Amino acid sequence: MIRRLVAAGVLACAAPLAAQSRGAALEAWQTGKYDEAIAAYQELAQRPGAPPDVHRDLARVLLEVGRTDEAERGLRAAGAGPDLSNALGEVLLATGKLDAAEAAFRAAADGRARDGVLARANLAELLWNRGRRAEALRMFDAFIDLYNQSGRLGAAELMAVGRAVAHLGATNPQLFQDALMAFDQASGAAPGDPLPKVLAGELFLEKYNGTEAHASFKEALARNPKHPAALLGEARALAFDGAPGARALIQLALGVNPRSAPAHALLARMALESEDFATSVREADAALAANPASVEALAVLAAGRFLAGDQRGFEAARDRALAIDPTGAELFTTVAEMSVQHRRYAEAVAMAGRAVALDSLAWGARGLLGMNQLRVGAIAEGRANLERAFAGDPYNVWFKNTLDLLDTFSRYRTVRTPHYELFLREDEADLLEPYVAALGEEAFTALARRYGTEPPTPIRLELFPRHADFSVRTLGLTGLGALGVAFGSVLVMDSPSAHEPGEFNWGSTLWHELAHAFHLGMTKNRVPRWFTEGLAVHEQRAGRPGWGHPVSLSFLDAYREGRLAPASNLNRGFMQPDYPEEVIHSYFLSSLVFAWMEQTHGKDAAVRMLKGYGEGKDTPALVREVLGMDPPAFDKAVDDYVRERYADAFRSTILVGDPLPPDAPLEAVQAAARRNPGYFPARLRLGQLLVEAGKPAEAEVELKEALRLFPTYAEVDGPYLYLARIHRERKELDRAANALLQLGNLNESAYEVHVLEADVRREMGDLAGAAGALERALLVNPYDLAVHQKLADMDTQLGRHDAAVRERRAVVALNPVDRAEAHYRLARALLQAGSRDEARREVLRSLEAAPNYEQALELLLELRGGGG
Amino acid sequence: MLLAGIALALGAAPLRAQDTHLVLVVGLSGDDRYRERFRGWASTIRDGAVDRLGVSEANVVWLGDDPTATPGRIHDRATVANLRTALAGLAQRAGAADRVVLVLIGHGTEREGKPLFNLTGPDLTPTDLSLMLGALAPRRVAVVNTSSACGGFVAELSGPGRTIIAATRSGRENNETWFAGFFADALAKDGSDLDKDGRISLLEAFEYARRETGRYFEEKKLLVTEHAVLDDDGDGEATMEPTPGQGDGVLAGAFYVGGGARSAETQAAAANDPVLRGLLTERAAVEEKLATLRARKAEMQADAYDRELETLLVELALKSREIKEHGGGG
Repeated sequence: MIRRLVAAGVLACAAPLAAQSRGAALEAWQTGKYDEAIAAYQELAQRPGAPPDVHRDLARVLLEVGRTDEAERGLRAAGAGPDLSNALGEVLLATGKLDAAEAAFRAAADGRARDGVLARANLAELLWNRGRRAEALRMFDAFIDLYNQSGRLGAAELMAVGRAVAHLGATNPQLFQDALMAFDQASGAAPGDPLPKVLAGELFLEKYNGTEAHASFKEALARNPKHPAALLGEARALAFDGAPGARALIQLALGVNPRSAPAHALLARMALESEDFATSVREADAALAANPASVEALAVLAAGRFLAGDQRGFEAARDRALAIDPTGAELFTTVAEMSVQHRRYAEAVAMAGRAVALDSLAWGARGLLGMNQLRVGAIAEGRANLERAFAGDPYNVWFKNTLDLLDTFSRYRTVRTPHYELFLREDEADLLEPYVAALGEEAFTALARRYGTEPPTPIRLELFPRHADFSVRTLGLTGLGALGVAFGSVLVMDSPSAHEPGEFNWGSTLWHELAHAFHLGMTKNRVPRWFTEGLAVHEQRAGRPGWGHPVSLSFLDAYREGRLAPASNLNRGFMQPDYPEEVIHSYFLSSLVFAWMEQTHGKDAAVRMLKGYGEGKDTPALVREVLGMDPPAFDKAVDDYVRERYADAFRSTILVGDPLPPDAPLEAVQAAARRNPGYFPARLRLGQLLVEAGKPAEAEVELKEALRLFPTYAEVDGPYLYLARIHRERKELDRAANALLQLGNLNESAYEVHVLEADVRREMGDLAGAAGALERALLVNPYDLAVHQKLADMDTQLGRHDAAVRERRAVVALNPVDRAEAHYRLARALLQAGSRDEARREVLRSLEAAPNYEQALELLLELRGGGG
Repeated sequence: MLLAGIALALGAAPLRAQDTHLVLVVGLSGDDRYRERFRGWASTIRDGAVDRLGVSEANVVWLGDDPTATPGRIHDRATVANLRTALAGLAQRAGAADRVVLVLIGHGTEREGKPLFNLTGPDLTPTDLSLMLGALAPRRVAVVNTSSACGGFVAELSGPGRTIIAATRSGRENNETWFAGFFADALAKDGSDLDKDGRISLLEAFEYARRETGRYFEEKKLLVTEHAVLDDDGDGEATMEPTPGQGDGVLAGAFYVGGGARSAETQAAAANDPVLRGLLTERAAVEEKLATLRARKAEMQADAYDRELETLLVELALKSREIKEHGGGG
């Protein structure tokens, strides 16, 4: 009796104590105090008669932190009855024991377990992922009835409904909204559980809504900052945005669950995107060690091997993945996506094509196919596939943006030249065509001579007057920071009208992108990013003086501080930059590699390396084979070259003492310059202030000293422009013009400098020099009516009648208010160039606008032989 | 446009040429930056009209912010009262066939749906201005309101014989405007005589300023915050793209600022020379055929159109030569 009473008393107290303990364990679990939660659940599980829920929850916590063996052992020790079968299935699934997992899910689903609904969702998902789509869809479908016919579902059931309905979204996109609603209701039913938020975040991410995905993951992480799936989801969301920090979050997730196959697979994928094959394989192996049935990891592994040219390895990974999921869309989609990252667009088309052939509902793959068909120039096919993909997945912003852009293509004109198919918007085609065609052909000829080969032609060159359109054409999204992109023989770039004059040199950009087309053609797109970027900049420099990235103060600082990768590992600077400017600095540094290479190993070395990449060799092997040195020696040689080449600049830009405030008065700057006479910024600033103070003689001394200290400083505010002003003021026009020329030869986008140089040279009577300066200006900004008019006048005076015709045509193309005058002058130029028939047509256009235009009437009579 | 000009020239009494009167009103500037800009534009308009287009200096009235700033050029302070006085005086002394161009430069606003031009003292309302302009009837009058938010002036000022130009199409376009600068250029610089007849019509000046304003915004990559409009058919509905053929643009196409030496000489010579008069009539007939042909362009094959165009233009060229040989202008 007493015992019973005690027992009853114990029981009476134990019930609330157990409840309290379970509540505390759950709270610890949901807030990420995993050790505490596991200890609490273990304590509860050891109690006699512990309910299955306790064992299930313990297994789930252990599963969440990667202690899968313990989880499985615990469940089996607890009997693994129907109420534990689903949890056992989840553990088995996470460790790749798919058949056993399926059996466990079926046992729970058929055995009327308390979590049977969840078991059915798990089973259906497993079947879906193993390619048994029809059966899976039938099971998913039943969840709609469950939702509609059940009264009040618990959080777990609502999450199951959401997952099932999300899958059905492949056939009815509207159902994605219902899935979100179910997750939202689950969240309401279990406000302390972060999982519904994680599931919602994953769905938002799947539907390309990064903003909402971040919000959901952050809510989950606010509750449990260690939740591995939430950390992984946020990492994916950051990667989706192209924002930094994803790797750190994955490492946090792995800190909680070191055996997380999705985390390792994601790291493998990111490494492969960064062209870091070794890390990718290592991480994929880690994922597969945890879960040998991870299709995600197998797909990345297959992609890596495919891109490395390891066909046998690719087939092995592919076959393993297909054995798990014979529909194979994920595998081929991943290979296609990774091919895009490696600029292997034709392969991306082939792989995406295989994905859609296996799974007609793989809308992502269908869209990928379309996007990449566009990238290889198959516009009609690409559009058709994108339209199908968008019909199936109307949430995809890439597809929508691209289709919207394609709708504008009717306003573009295609023009053929010997090697190009120019794609120009109608309203600027007349203006741009002559310049783009001429420079494009010049670049093609120069690069063909340089490399001794040609890429497939025609080169399709698309120019977009809106940067956003260029960005969408490239990525499907706005916000791309680049000016041009080469997909191979399809080049896409900003039209000069996409930017303010002086923001970029379209001619230099065209040259750069065309160089990529040669590199990609020669290597079948196998050239690493650092190599093709650096070599393309090097080729720009050969195109015109001043083209290509100049040395900058921030580069010098970064290099001095060791914030750039060595030559043999420069790809890291492009693919995994530690800070935003590292990419632009890596462009410059990689271009110096080729300057060094040309100087020490001849012009042919880069070409031989390109051929080696085409044969599947990697950088270390080619450094040894072509340059005859080990990577460390290569690094040292390049480093020595950079330090010697810019020795002056390095020396003169070391800050000694405190930095000068931007508004420091003249006296303070003078004192600073006296203290540090070898410090370029102080001498330059002093020179500038002395000019402003009306002391040109003193300013000249400072500016010349600044120039001596850092002769390649390319910014427009440098010594040259100030010296030019001083010289012009003194009527030393030849010196002024020379200073401006020097500056123009350092800075490819210095539009106003070119125009100013032209003015000075015209004052000097150097018409040819002035015309040359304006020609350079047009490669930055071809939209200035006055520049074309001036250049036309000069060309006429110089007897360059064909050039004058081109300029007069540009004036007409710019649609001036006075069209009669523009056509008349074009007619005159045509007559001088010997094109009488064209001249006659133009004078008619002039007189059509202004019938009483006396000079034009006289010209008409002249063209008809004088008497009409 | 030229047909109208010729008709006007032949029909007008040769005894007294039509004079152009220019009234410049520069409103409150607010700060030095605007003061300099507004004064510069007004100065360019004044000089262009006088020095280039032959408007008599005596026919220019300039009301500005500070008459002492440029002695002899700014006649009085710009106020509603002074403007009323100036226009009333003009109504007394201008000839019946004279033309009056009133240019408003400055800031405009719209308050409670009512457009205002900002002056020292009371602002100028379209109602005030319309009453003042009434005194000038039946003369041809043009108002060029270049201020911000001035679109609301059009409807109230619109009327027979009036050409109303506004730098903005509505009161909602209330950013600073640039139209005035390009309108000044149209009068002062080459490039606005679009039909090459040696004269600048208001339509040409409007077209030039409108297009160059658009180019300015395009080159600066700015959103276009002003859309100039013109109304001269008296319906109070302005258009952004007037044409000389019909509707808005007809009056402006024949409203010349100043004269142009060549046409004046031709008129004078034709008055005393029946042969020259005949040649001018023949040329006008060719011009009419040209106008007809151009109207049919869209429905013709390009080659056929060009052939006919060339034939007529050659005829026109030869006729112009004859006119010149008989002492007429172009």
